[in-house]
Amino acid sequence: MMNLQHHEAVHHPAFLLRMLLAVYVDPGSGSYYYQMVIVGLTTVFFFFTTIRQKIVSVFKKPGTPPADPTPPQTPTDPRNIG
Amino acid sequence: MSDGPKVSGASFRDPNGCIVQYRGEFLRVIQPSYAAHYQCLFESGLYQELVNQGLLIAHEEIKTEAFPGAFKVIRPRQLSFVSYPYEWCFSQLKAAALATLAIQRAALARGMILQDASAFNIQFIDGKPMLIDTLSFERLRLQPWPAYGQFCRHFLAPLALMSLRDPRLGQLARVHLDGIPLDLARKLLPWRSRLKLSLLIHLYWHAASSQGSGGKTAKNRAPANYRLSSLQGLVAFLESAVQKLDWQPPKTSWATYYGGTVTGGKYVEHKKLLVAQFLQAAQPRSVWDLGANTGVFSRLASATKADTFAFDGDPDCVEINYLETRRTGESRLLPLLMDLTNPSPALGWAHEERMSWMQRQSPDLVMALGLVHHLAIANNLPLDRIEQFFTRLSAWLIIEFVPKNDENAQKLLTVREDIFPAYTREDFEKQFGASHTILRAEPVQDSPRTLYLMRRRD
Repeated sequence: MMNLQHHEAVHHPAFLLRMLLAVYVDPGSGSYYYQMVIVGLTTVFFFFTTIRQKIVSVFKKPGTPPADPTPPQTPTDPRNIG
Repeated sequence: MSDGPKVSGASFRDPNGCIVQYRGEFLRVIQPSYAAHYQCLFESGLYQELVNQGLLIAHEEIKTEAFPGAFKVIRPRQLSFVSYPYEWCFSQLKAAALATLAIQRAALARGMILQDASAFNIQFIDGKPMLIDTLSFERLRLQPWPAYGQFCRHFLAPLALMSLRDPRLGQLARVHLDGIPLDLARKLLPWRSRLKLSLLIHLYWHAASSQGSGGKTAKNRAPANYRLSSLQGLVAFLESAVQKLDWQPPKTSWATYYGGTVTGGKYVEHKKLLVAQFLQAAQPRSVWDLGANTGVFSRLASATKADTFAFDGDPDCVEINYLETRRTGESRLLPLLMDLTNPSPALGWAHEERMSWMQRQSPDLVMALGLVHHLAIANNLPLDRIEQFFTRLSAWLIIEFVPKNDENAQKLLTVREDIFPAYTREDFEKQFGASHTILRAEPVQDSPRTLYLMRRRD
């Protein structure tokens, strides 16, 4: 039987979700149901990223290529040669 | 030997199709159960869009009677070598994660969805991450993303561990083939990772949601009114989480080990000249550079249009090498992480899901530059075992002998007793000469080293 006092996750949404469903949740279906808990967050995130993209596109010069999200770091000298 | 189709050992989970090896080629056999999804893939324009963007492997449909009952048989572009996520550096795994999310975003926009997000479905082709599982797509149903947990285990958890704890933790994927369990990742991550909202949500709380709490069985509760924007938001959220994870390779002892010594004088330039000449003589189509470090000599091979794989056991070197390939847009060079004294074994069900390193390709030529002294002196490998290893690997061999009086060999010997009386140039030539024809043996300027071009006697 679950010891609520010693359960580290009593206060967070995933625990509340399990209590709400009152079922055993296997790892695969846990991820599935968990998305229903964070659906509000993902929707809000989508809303704001869409708005931000629209604002950025207004101020962006036409024809400007998108920035590389992870610009590579380049070694300047051939080191580490066996 | 039978010429019939042989189902790949890694292709047994998907009821909609499988990979078969048939007459020397890898084909994908598609079952009728996947017909509607396959047609949607084309009619929606998703296939063409992803192929044009280099995100999905291209294929052609073929007509054959070898697979009765099949809906289609397709021949994907054939790969010369398959790499696995536990052989990728941080930036390779990150690029694969972002490619997976870009594919999911494109699929959602065209009424489809990725049914799985396995890192094993991504391969680096022409230097870029590409989805190779054409059957990963299904027609969109508005429900939570079934592959969300898999994405977090295969990509987000290892990236977070590599970024915030240690890049070597990417090796956990070798033990956990279906991705690093989120509860394990949570325990291994530093406390400060909780301060990142994306990790708090997608790893910490997500991990807790996946732990069982009772004896009842989950009921099938189909969510009502699940929106497309929720799925798109999840992709954007995960993209943001992955983008924020970063790792810069430090100047480790390995990365600077040789820097101040062998790069001096004419050594490097002369060695480059010799390697280029040897490559010209051998004309290989595929090259493995073992102990490639940052790939200085691998690039000589890829410049000859040979498919080149640069293996090294140091994550920093592989990271630097990969970033250089990205900077220069090199398509024929793939750096990979590999400990030569403990290379990737065959893994998974019946040891057939993931092939061992040596099962995956028989390269035309192997380069072992500045490597033999590490194998012989640092790892106590006798010369006969080293010779047997290279004889198994390839027909052509470019190998450098580093004698004991070499400055770097001396460094290895300062911390151990010299128990290697048979490690001399004469012993080396005698050992390798028994199985190979030594075509060239050239001293390298400004060093006591000798560079050999050999061909195996078959």
